[in-house]
Amino acid sequence: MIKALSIAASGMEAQQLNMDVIANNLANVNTSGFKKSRADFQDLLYQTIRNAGGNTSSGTEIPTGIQVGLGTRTAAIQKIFTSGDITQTGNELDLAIEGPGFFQVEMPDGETVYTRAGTLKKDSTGRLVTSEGNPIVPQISIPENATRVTIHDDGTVEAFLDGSTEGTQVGNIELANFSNPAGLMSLGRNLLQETPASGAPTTGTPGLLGLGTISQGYIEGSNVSVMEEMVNMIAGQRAYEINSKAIKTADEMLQMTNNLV
Amino acid sequence: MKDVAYNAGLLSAVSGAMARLQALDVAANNLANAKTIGFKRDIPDFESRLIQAQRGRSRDGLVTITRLKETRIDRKQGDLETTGNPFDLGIDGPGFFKVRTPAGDRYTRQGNLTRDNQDRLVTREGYPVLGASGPIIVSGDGEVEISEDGSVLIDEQEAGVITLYEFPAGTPLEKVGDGLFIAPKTTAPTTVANPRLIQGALEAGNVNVLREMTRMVTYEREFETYQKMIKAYGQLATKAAELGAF
Repeated sequence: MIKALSIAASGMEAQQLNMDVIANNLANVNTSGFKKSRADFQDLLYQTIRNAGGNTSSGTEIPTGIQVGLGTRTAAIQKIFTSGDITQTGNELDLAIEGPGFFQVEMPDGETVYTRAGTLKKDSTGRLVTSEGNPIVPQISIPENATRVTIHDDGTVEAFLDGSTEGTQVGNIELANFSNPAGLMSLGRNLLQETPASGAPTTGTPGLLGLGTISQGYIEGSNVSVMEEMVNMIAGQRAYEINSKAIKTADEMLQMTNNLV
Repeated sequence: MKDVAYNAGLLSAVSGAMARLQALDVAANNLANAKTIGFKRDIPDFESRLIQAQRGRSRDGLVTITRLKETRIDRKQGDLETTGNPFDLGIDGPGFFKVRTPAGDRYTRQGNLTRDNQDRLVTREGYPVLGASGPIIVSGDGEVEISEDGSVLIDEQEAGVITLYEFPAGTPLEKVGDGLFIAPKTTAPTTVANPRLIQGALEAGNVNVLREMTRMVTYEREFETYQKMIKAYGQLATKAAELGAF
């Protein structure tokens, strides 16, 4: 039976998944701190019809065999950690990381996860939390009587109490970094989790040891480029179409075979 | 059926049609892998052969058939696309990564690497990439820099060298899927003297979609021709039967 049908079907399936990844990137074009993903493909098994090194009828050795590949599949979907555009918001608890690094967030189960989305809030007890309400690590509390908060590029958080012109240091924001951020696992809601591929985090003061600095009043947008995704989408659509053409060709050839009878 | 010429023509047509079916599979696989990293397309080669038909029944029972002789791997360089990921390595020029699989050492051009739980630099299937002294260990949490010659630096400390291997031109490599190649046992690979590894880039597959489509259409048309031939022979046989030639 003709293999081209299933080979091309595997190509279509892969492109469909590629399209899902692109659609998700596009859907998150305005998600702060979002990092785009990319689908990586791999060739499937090969069927060896004739082995190289076998003997021909005339006694010579076959230098190259006949191998027919059986299609393609998705090997991995990985995140790409280029930085997004940094835009000004003026909100004093909006923090952008300029350069590498992640904010550390404590989940309700005590686990530390990582994010680039610095849209922080104050909860009822004055702690700095993410939009989801999870506190950042190390925990920083803003006193109730603070009128203004200044966060320096090295992460120092200063609160101005009762209209005082002198700031009081209430904590330091620390950033974490990984030697292979692309190995982090996405948990959704802008959160990332450490894996063996990402390596263990190194934490430190922003601006030191290769970590980025913190910009108060700014947020990092998503690193999705609409233009680039559109181009990828068109390319993906064409690849899908080409595979469907291969199916059509195989079908036509089968039809011709049927017409023999 | 005494008429040898009639048989010979029919067999030729059938062999031609079958070879085109196989070639279509090869083209379909190339197209399906147009977006596969480090993919090298297969080239189907045809050959014509004389075979002896109806041995013992006819003295001149020689038939020319055509068939798929071999599939060759087109080793042409694919385009390098930047990704910015520190563990993405694109090979610019000759060479293969050598990876250790449970079934033995294999070669690949797929540079979308990652790190496993033993801190080894591995492919997406988890096969460690080998340097001169075994797997490359990327331990610690420092910044990983891989220079063009394959040296792996972690926080500017050398942690190993990725070696690229090459085979003499014309070596029949065999594909085993997942972007892996096997070399014949008789051919020893040589290390690439001046490798060029690009960190933060990946090599795209070397399939030219337009050309592959053209080939596919050609196979289809050729198949059609053979099909017409087979049909004509069928009609001839019917006519001959009507005339009572058998």
